[in-house]
Amino acid sequence: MTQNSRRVFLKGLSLATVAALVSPSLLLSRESEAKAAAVTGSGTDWKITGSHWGAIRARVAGGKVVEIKAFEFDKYPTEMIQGIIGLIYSPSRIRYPMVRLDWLKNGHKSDTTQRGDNRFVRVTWDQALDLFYSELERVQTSYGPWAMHTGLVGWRQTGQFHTCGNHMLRAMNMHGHTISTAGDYSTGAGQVILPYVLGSTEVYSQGTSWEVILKESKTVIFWASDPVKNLQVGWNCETHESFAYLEQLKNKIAKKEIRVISIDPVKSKTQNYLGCEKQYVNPLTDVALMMGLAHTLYTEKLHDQQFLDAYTLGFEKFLPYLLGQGADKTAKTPEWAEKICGVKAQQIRELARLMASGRTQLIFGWAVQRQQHGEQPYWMGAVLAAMLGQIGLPGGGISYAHHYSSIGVPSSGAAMPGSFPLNLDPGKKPKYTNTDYKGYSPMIPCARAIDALLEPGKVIDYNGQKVKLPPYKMAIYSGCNQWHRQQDRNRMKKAFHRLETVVAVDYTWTATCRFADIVLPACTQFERNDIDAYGSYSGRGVIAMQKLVDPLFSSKTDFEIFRGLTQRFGRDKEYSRNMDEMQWLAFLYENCRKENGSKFPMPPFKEFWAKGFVLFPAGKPWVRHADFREDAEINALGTPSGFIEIFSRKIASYNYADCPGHPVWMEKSERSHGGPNSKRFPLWMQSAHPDKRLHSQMCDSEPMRATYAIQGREPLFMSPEDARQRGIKHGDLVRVFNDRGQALVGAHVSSDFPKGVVRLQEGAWYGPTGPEIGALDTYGDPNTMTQDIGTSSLAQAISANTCVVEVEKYKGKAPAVTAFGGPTEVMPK
Amino acid sequence: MNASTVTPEPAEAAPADQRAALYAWFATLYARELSEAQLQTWFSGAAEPLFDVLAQAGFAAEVQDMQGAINALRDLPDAQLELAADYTMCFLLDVKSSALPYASCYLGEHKTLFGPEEKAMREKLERYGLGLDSNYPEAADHLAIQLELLSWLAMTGKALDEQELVASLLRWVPEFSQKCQTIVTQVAFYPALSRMLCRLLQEESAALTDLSPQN
Repeated sequence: MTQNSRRVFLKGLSLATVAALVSPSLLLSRESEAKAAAVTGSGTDWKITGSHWGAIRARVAGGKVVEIKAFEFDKYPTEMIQGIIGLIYSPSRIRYPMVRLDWLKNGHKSDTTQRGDNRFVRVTWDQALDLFYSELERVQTSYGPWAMHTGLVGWRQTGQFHTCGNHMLRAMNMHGHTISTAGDYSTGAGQVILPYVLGSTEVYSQGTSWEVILKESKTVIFWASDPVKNLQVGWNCETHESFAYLEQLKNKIAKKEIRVISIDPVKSKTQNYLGCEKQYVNPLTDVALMMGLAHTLYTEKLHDQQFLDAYTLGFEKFLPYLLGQGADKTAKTPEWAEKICGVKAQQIRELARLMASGRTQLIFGWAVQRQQHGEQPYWMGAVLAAMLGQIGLPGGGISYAHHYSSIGVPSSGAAMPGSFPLNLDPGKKPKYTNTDYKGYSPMIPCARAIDALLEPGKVIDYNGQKVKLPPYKMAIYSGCNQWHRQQDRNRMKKAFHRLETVVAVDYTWTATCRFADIVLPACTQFERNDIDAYGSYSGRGVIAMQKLVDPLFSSKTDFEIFRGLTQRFGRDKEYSRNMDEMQWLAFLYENCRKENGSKFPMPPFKEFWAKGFVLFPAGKPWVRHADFREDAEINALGTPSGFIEIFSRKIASYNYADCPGHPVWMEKSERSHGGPNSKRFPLWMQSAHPDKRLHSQMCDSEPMRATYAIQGREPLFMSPEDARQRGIKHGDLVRVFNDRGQALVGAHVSSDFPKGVVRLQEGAWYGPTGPEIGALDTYGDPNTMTQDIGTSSLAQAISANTCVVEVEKYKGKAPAVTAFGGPTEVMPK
Repeated sequence: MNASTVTPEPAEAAPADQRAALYAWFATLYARELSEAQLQTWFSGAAEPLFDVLAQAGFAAEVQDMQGAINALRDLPDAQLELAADYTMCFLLDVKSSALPYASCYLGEHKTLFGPEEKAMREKLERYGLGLDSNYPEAADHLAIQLELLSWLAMTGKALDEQELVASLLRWVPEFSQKCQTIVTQVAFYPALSRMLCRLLQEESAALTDLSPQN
């Protein structure tokens, strides 16, 4: 355009031309408008708050969080706290309530195949909550409780008051009955099998104190456990106290005062940190290795018969299987095991002898139970520990959770603050009292949530019961990312076509939100006041979670969202008990203070809030199962017999082919290293917990992702040999695939990984090229490839780690990442 | 932007109130979805005089796209919703799906919301004694707010500041506009609007540069 045309243009434009098309200005003169929002805000302020990643102090300047540092008590903070600013200000934040356009037009009769294609419309909070409420009414009155599903809430944002699951459930419980879930995605198999064997879930139980292990153990076995990676995060506000003990362990290893062996196909972060020994095992074959160990212990008379006699039940029923006198007529010798697990028979014998030669602490991670037949390695681990006879001794026995929430740090014994109630207050009833589930089960094992949609009415076994899967019509997900944790994306796409209405409440555009109809923006935990336990198991204190900034854009706290929902059926006062946020915090805190009394003195709430924390003295060292060992009758386990059950009559009575009465080795539906389907898909893909996220949380933090992504994609860790064979170099874009799905990822070649093993960390956000079945995932969500089958008829938990894939160098123009912002072009160093 | 395409002789500035009106028009369109009433105003032909001058000024292609969009909307049963969904697709989803209308999402190291650009805008507003409408819970570097400020600067005769803000917008609006073109929309209204804004800013930059004291 020339100056000439410019003049013409301007001459033609009069104010009247646009007057009708212009709205009043968004800018106000500050002198004339007292109510104008503060523009810059003044001053600088340090505040304290807690998180899964630990307690932090945050500097707030000009109304914005500008700096984060670890709380001074935390001597081993995780680098992930530096991702928090990126999480708050993530360009993937949900800024306004949204409704999927076709759903807004057609309601529950919308074209559900459009789910995932992102055509949404902004609505007001009133509109959004009205629609949400009218759907609750429609589903309860036209179907009944079997059609309403509340998704399991897992790693919600921290904070005892705002805990999002409780808000959703209390509001839903006030309205009517629903389909709930059993179990969880982390420990689904473990938490079902171990009560039969050891009398409690074990996975969520306090374990023998590290101090005791450091002092008494001659050998520590980390069995598929990676505490250095996983202890960065905690269920409540994490203290990171375990790391002090891991540092001592490292020093003892260096001085050869202890033997520590990591049994794992890969060289874990823990192994790299500790500098400990490694025992390779073929993926998914741990049970075979354990059988070989047990066979050696028994045949070489290294087992503790006295312990087995005094504290266990059913060893004699297990023995024929072990020795080849059972139906399969196969002795589980080390030679037998070697062929399956890839560990030399002689090595197996030496390992068994080492374990029996002195005090041995077995420490299991959770990954081995996130596979088909995931009950077996935990059960067999308990059998091994029982044969060693050290359960209940200091520095001996078995643990299933030393990688979790600082388990192993002694408990202070102080009470921790309670949470916002998820149930109705006493004497109250829901608006709809209908409990007619039309023959369907009111509860489904959480991992079978997709089966319920695709196989309506199917009767499945679950933990000794029959479950008739309800084809629920409406699902509500709050603070949880169903499209991260559930397996097999393409199967999920088909299943979600059958849902009439999906509501998602979250602070960021997760894939679950993209596949929802009504999307409600919650604020982050950094935009609300709360309190939390400091140390889930250690109970080291109570931490104030001071609001750093006001809720961004139109986001609200879960409390406000669900209070607004209950207002629509006149129950909001009951919902909130007529208290606001700070009144609730004072209430929860003062209850805790009262409970702790003079034993654990706490200052009054106001004083606590100003200071930001209260700490309790460290607890005393403790030994798991010591009381049981001391007196097995008085301190009987919670098993049916009260003893450790090597053979479970109860489980045997269920007659499950995939989970008989004692632990057994079973081949998997697919397996690398010579197992089923390994010719077509020779690589085992493990979807371990991520190192630089908490599941899918913080995947949207741009600065954090920039530290690990490869060409803007999730890294796929693989061995140098596998990479070489496929012409792949570190930093290349590669396609990982099997018959279930495909994803575009960045090759991270590392000698920590053996041939035949790749790792794609779970929690990577799903970002398909389109809503169609089979679409390429552009970022690298492992659950695009994993299979959605139950561990067994017993636990029906996820089997994500039973997954084989192939990898190829990606050729052609790579589609842009659709999972969130980016692509952040970061080439690996 | 590209001064070499501009004739060398100094040009007179466009009447400031006209620029102010035009920026306010853009600000209105970026601030929110069009309401049913606003859309009816458009359907009644209220935009035609503006389209005429814009078309004559060299924006014929964009005008044609916008007119085409309005005409297409006339035939749709849920015109307001469809255009609102286009607005959402273009500006309201996450950074990857949408062309987020914030400077911070294009400039700076990490491209997050509320980045340094947002802080700079808030400081700028404060300097001018301006506040944000508390009913508009947006980041200060939102395109609509920046265009409102541009309109205000034109109206209050702060030519140098106006020039500076145009230059500042041109650091990211081209990328923003480019992104808009890649988004699948029902009608071409917002992609065309963004192309038009981008070109207009470039023209203004060139014209204002000619007016600056250095020339």
